Amino acid sequence: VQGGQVDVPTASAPTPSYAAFYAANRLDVVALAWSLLGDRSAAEELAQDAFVEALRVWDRISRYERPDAWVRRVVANRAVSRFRRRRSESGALTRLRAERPRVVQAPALPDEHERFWREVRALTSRQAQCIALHYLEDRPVGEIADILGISANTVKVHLHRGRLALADRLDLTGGEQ
Amino acid sequence: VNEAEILSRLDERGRRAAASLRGATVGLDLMPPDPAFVRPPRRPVQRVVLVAAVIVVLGAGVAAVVTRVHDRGRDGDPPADDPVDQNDGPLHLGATWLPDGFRPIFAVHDEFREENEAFGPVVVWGGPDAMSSVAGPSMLATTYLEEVRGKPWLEPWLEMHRQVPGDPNLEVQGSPATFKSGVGRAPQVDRGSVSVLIADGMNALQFEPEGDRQAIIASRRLDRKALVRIAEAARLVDGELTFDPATLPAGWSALHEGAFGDMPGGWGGPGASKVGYDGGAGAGAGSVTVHVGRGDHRRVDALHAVAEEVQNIEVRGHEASTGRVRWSSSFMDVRRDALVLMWEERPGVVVYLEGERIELDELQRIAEGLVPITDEEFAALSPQALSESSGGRPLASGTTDGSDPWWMFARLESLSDTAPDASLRVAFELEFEDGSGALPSFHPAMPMSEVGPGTAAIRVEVLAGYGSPIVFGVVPDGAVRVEARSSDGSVTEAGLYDLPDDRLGVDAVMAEVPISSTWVDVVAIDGNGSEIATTRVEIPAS
Repeated sequence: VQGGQVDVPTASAPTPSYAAFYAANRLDVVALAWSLLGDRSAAEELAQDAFVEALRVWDRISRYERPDAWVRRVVANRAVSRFRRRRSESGALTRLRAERPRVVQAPALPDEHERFWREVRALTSRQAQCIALHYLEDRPVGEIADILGISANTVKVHLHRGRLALADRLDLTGGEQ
Repeated sequence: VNEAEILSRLDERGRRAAASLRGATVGLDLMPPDPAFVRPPRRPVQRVVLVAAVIVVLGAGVAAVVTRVHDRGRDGDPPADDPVDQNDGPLHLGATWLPDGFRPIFAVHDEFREENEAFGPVVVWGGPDAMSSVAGPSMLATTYLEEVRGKPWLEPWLEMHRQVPGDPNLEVQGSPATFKSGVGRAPQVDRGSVSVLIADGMNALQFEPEGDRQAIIASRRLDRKALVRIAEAARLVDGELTFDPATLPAGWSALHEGAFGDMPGGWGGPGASKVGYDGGAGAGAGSVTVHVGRGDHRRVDALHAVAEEVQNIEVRGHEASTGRVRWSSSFMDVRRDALVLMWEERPGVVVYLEGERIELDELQRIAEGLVPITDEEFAALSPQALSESSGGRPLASGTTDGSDPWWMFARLESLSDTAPDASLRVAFELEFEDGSGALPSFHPAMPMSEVGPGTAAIRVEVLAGYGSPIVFGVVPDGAVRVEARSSDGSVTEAGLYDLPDDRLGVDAVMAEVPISSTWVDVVAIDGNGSEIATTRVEIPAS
């Protein structure tokens, strides 16, 4: 402790409130990361990074009204950034090798659901984030806005446009499903 | 299949997919973080390098930010003092001389606020001569949070930056990067409005360093290869760009650091008082805005980094810089060519005049005639007060999607027996969550000279990017009802408003249309139910 300011618990055990926070949110946060990254292992890693970051600054964010929103915002933003980077790297590798990746990971979700989330990730970053929070966590517009740090009006716009685009990508706009 | 059915199908599918994904996480063996391996937050470090801003982001209502200059500790640079506002209150300046036909059109003041964390500082980099009268090369750099891109007010404008022809597969640090030019402007980004200007003639590189921020570096003199080389080695430290000195030209250091909005070329700045004047709404009419904000001589000198034809002159007994800032955007074909004039009026206070279609001697004369005005005098120059006092009036007001307030007002441009005319403007006044107001954002005036009495003309424009698109304009005064028929099949009844003088022969019309619209047919209908005028407008994608 210096200068009267405590930034983070370091060598001590997590506070009970942090432990409870972690237990209450970890699976949902992994699911959110998974929906946006499309890879379970990467999602676990990202979620872990976010919770480490939360622990690092727990003294500060524990005073927030919604630390759960904080960790979700970290995951949502980093997931988008990482997904783009992974896609970029994947494209570069594909160009270099001129062949498809040799190892194909078996999908962890049924095809129908795997496709749904794949098409979500094909939307714009913000649309994907809004839709993931909307369906995965059944969040109302106001809470999604709080998590993403944008206005409720913005969320409505992204949800509306994103859902229409997603329906089109999933071929749900025809007369029969 | 209508939209509701489609979305219902989607919701059902989404709920199943969500349940499937959530179920797949059950049983995952996740280990909580080990505190022994958690590093405490990094203390602020000396910033050897900062970002420089390209651009100018400005803040119409931007959260106020004090110009902060760090002790960079390089090359024996002395610590720089933070400029201090030595006023008891905001300083407002009003013009006592204006070119013929000019009159006030608005006065706004940005409240001083906490620093806006969404935007990093804007830093000017250059060699010892970068700010001299014979300026050498310099570079501006800045960052903004990745999430800012999602702001509806900003995103359309950022995307409207013109992509400069070049390598479409350009990557910096493994992520897509682009060279851009033009202007991006956007109110309401994290409690304020913001504009991003990349002046014409600048090489501006937008890239994504590792972290959660987008970065922009720009220069008038460095070529693209040099910028890419600098960007490849740039790193984010505490939200700001740091550069590898080996990639910068020899002898470069950070010369000035300001907030988004503080930089020359912007339209004001945090905490700024702004009074605008123009010579009418018609094409070719001049305009000038008087900004009073925080800063010191370094902010004045930084004009060299952005403007062309910079020269030093004396104004009001102070050394001033004047130059020309040009920028353009594909969005609504915005092109601006501004003559700017800046000086430090008193310690910590910079005055910045920006004029269009105005000569330097006129700008100087306006500057020499500026006088402090009281808060009451300032308030009398608000758009609403001016509209009422000039014979115009607010015609309508509302909120887009129930959130951002807007109003439309008409103002008489001239009124004589032979040449009545008026203009329409649409303005938005943004409101922050804490209830404070922000600057209005004006749509350019729409003169009605071409829509004379007795014609069946109909003329509308679209204001998009502010939530629901707004279609506004004029219709023949024989119309008793106006419908906005959107591409999605919906029909919105537009508001009809009387203009200040019925000799104009037209009424004003405004309608909020669904955000999913790609075009709208505006149809004027008379008392017999006949369609007397119709026109189609495209809704710009945003």
